[in-house]
Amino acid sequence: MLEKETGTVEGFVWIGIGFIICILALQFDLGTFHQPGPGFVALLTGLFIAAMGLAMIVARAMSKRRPDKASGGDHPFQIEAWRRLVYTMVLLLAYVILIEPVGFILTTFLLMFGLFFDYRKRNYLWSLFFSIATALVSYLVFEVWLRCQLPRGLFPWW
Amino acid sequence: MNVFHDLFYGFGVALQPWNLLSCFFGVFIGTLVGVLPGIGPVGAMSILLPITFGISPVTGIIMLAGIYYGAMYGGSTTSILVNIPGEAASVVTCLDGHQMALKGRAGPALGIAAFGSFIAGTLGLFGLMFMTNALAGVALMFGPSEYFSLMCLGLSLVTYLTQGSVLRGLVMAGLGLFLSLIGQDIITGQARFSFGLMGLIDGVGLVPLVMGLFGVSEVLLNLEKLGEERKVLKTRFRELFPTKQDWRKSAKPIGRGTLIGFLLGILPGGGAVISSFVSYATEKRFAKHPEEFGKGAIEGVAGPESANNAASSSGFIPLFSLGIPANVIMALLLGALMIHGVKPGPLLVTEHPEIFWGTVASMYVGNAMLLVLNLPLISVWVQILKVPYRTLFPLILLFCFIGAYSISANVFDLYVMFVFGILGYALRKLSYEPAPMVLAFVLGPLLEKNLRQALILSDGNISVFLTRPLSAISLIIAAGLLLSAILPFVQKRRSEVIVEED
Repeated sequence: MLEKETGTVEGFVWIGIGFIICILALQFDLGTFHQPGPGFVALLTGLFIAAMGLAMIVARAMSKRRPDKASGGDHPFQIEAWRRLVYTMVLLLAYVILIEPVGFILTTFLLMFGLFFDYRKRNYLWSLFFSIATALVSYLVFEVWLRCQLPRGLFPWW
Repeated sequence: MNVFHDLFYGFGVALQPWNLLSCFFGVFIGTLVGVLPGIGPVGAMSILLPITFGISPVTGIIMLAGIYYGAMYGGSTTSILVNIPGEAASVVTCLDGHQMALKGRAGPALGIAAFGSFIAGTLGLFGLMFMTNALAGVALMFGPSEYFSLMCLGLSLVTYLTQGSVLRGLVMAGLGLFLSLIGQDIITGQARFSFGLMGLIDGVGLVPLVMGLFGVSEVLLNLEKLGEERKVLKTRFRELFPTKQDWRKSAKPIGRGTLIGFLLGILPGGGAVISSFVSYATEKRFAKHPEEFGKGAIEGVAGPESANNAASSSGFIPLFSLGIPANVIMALLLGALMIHGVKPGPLLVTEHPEIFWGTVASMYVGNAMLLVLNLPLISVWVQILKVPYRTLFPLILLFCFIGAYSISANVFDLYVMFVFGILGYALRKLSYEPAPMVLAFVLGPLLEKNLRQALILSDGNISVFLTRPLSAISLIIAAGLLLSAILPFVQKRRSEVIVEED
């Protein structure tokens, strides 16, 4: 839908992404209509995304209303509780990086402690208990019972 | 009477101990995720998808299906008692369900939601049994061009019915299509767009992608509301049974809701959410006292709750008969079946009768289980509702990580999930819906294969998509839908129906 709230900037971003996909597609054989190659559908997809980006810009230009609060959509950049959000994202990234070298049990315990911990309530004991319990129970269920082969890291005998 | 003979065979499959246990586990988890705001059936199914790899396809599908329709039941509890929808299809139940609860009528609201869901779910299954066979027979005549056009129609419908801008929905579908192209080319086997990363040679995994887009991003979004407290209204089992007057008022809405839900559920992109809104609008139009809607009208609970359950049954029809998923949930089921080497489509019923009839029969059993789970155990679900999100979200994230890792014991999948978690969060903050992206991602390989096959078979003649009647009709409807979205009148009507979800 050529909605009025679609902005010009996002249109240009999608045109850019569309063209990047086209360039990537051109590195493969496009083939012909008789015998389409591996890059054929990718090229069409890139052109499609770029066309949608262009449509967003045209829609924005034709629209009389400004893409502001009146549109009734989300307020994307008013991120509430951003500290907890960034904190959680950093913890998750650290978990992904450390799980293989350090192992499932210890990394899970650290992640759970970090996520359960509430800096305002200073609930150290509560967080400690639940993070140990979660790490052990999940290990028993997924590794021992369901045989998921979780990373062992520093503890190869586990 | 062949259908009933086959159904009897299905009950033989569904009542095997493991399948029965799997059905119970599915509907139990479904009710749980339906009750708990912050995790929906898509997230729960993607978390549990890896568990199904180690069991037979029919046991796995019975469990995953149970999660889906179980969530439809459970979602109403939170809507009525807390005024927070447990999952998207129960949004509309908040309007009158919670008002009934505030007036001391939480019991009848929960009761009619459960009974209405049971009736609609069971009737929907009759339709599923008869229509799948009929449609599968027709689908045997389809060629690559028909399949390609039908998939285009499905994607267009999903995009059209997705909340917000159609252009944004189309861009999401394009992005999903591109992501599906990563990995080996289906015809030549050449690695594409892997950027030298070993983990991308086999393509982006469905489970890490869905878990990131729906599981992790949902948690990140909910973290913004961490401080909010839930006020849960009390109710008791003996208060749950609707009165005779309640039944009189609800009978027709349940019937209409079932029909609406069933028909919209079949349409690609339809599904439970849209059908519940359409049912609510219909009941308001048919009501003798429309002014009571929004103030505690039982018809406003009975209709939508029946509609979303009927839609959850009929949503299986395009998947089982054509091999085309109607929504993201069905896309996940398609992925699960394909991982097991089972190809859904017109031949599924004849080649794998145990999967089709076993799943259908298990849904009858599951609906009965849900009635027991949702009525006498209501106080248990109310207690669970009191668990703060602060305690739940670390566990949800952990299950996502374990689920993504356990598929192939590869840390690369965790990176993929993390990236899509952040991407999903950003996209949703920017009002981009991830559903068209996931559907395009799942349909991508089929879409590409059928497009290329159709062109090869027609000797490069692109008019083949317009000369074959069904293909032409599908493409014309798809184009009409997308073009109609630019007309001011349709824009207004569409936003009235869809944007209300907010």
